[in-house]
Amino acid sequence: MNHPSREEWMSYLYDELNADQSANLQAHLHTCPDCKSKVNEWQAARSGLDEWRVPKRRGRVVLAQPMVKWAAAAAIVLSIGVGIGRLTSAPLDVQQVRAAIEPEMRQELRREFAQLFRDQLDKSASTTLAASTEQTRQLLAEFARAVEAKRTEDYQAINAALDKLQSQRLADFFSLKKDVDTMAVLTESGFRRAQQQLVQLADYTQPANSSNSPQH
Amino acid sequence: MRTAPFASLRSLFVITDEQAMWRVQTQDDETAFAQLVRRWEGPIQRLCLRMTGDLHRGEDLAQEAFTRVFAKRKEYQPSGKFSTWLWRIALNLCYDELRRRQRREETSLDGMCGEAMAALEAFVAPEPAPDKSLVEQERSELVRKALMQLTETYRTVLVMRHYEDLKFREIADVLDVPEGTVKSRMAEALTQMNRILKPILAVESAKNSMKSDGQTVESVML
Repeated sequence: MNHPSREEWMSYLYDELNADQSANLQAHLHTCPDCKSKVNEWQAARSGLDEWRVPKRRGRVVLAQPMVKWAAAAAIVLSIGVGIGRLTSAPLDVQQVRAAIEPEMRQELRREFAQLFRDQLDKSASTTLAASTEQTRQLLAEFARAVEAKRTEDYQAINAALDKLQSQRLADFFSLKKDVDTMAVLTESGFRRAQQQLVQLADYTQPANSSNSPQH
Repeated sequence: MRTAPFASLRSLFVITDEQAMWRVQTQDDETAFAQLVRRWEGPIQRLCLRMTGDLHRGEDLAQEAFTRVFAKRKEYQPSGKFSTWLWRIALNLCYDELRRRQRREETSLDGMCGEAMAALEAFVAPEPAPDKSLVEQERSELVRKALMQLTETYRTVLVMRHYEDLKFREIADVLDVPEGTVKSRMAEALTQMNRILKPILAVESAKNSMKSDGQTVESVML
C-alpha cells in the first residue's frame, strides 16, 4: 500500500490541504491501521498541547511615542558610557570575582528564600488562627445572646403565671367574703325573727274558753 | 447593516504592516511604530512565553523585540513580509535567552541547594489564570514542562504552528528552511511530545479519578 508521507499527514492535521487531498487521506485512514495509529498518536499530542493555557496578555509593552526618542538617546549615552568605562578600566578576572562573591551570594539567597518561606508560613498561620478565633468568638456571642433571650422569656412566663394565680386567689377570697357576709346578715335576720316569735309566744295568753267552745 | 459600509471604508485607511514599517524606516514615524506594537505585542509575548516557559521573561523579551525592531529599522527589507522579520527577531532573542539560561545553570546554579531551586522554580512557573481549576492547572504545568524538554528546533515549530497558527510556508520563511523540513520537524516534535505526555497525563488522570473515588493517591504511585 502506498502510504502518505509524514509531511502530508502534518498538512492534513493542520488543515492545509485542499478538499480533494484531504478526502484522499481521510479515505486512506479508514483502510490503513498503521497510518491510523500514527495519526492517533499525533492527535493525542495535539490535544495534550492544548492543555497548556496561558493567561491573557497584560499589555505590558507600552511604548509612549514621545518617549521613544528619549529612550534611544538614553540608550546611546549609556552605551557610550559603558564603552568608555570598559576601555579605561583594567580587565577583570571574572573567575576571581565570581569565586569571591559566589559563596556570599549563595548564602544570601538561601537566607532570603528561607526568610520568605517563613514569612509566608507565619502570615498564613496567623491569618488562619485569627479567622478561627473570630469565628469562635462570634459563635459564643450568639450562644450567649440566645441563652439570655431564652431566660428572659422564661421569667416573663413565670411572672405572668404567678400574677394570674394571685389575681385568681384575690377574686376567690372576695367572693368568699361576700358570701360569708351575706350569710351573716341572713342569719342575723333569722335570729331576730325567731326572737320576735318567741316574744310573741310568751305574750300569748290562752283566750277565755267561754264563748266559742265548739263542744258546747 | 449601517456599519458595514463604514467598516469597509475604514479598512481603506488602515495601513498594512509593511506600509507602517516603511514609515518607521523612512520617517521615524512614531505613530506607525505604536500601531505595529499594538498589533503584534500579543502574539510576540505569547511566542516568547511559550519558547522560554516563563511569563515574565516572555513579556520582557517581547519588549526587547520591539526595541530591536526600532533600532534595526534601517535593515528591514521592504520586499519581505514585516511579520516574518518580526518573528525572526523575537525567536533569536528567545534562543539567546535560552542559551544564557543554560550557561547560568551549568556554571553557577549547580551547587545551589534543592530548597532554593524549588523556590526559584515556583517563581519561574507562569501564573495560572484565576478561573482555572486545580486539575487543569496541574495538567497545564505538566504540558509546559514537557514542552520545555524538547530541543529548540522542535519546540519552535510546535509553538509557531500549533499555538500561533502560522502556516508551514510562513514558518519555513521565518526559519529560512524548506517547507518540507518544517513539516518533518513538526511530525517528529509531535511524536516526541506524545512519548513524553502519554505516561504523565495518563497517571495524572488516574490520580484524579482515584481521588474522586475516595482512595489514596499513594496506591496509584506504587
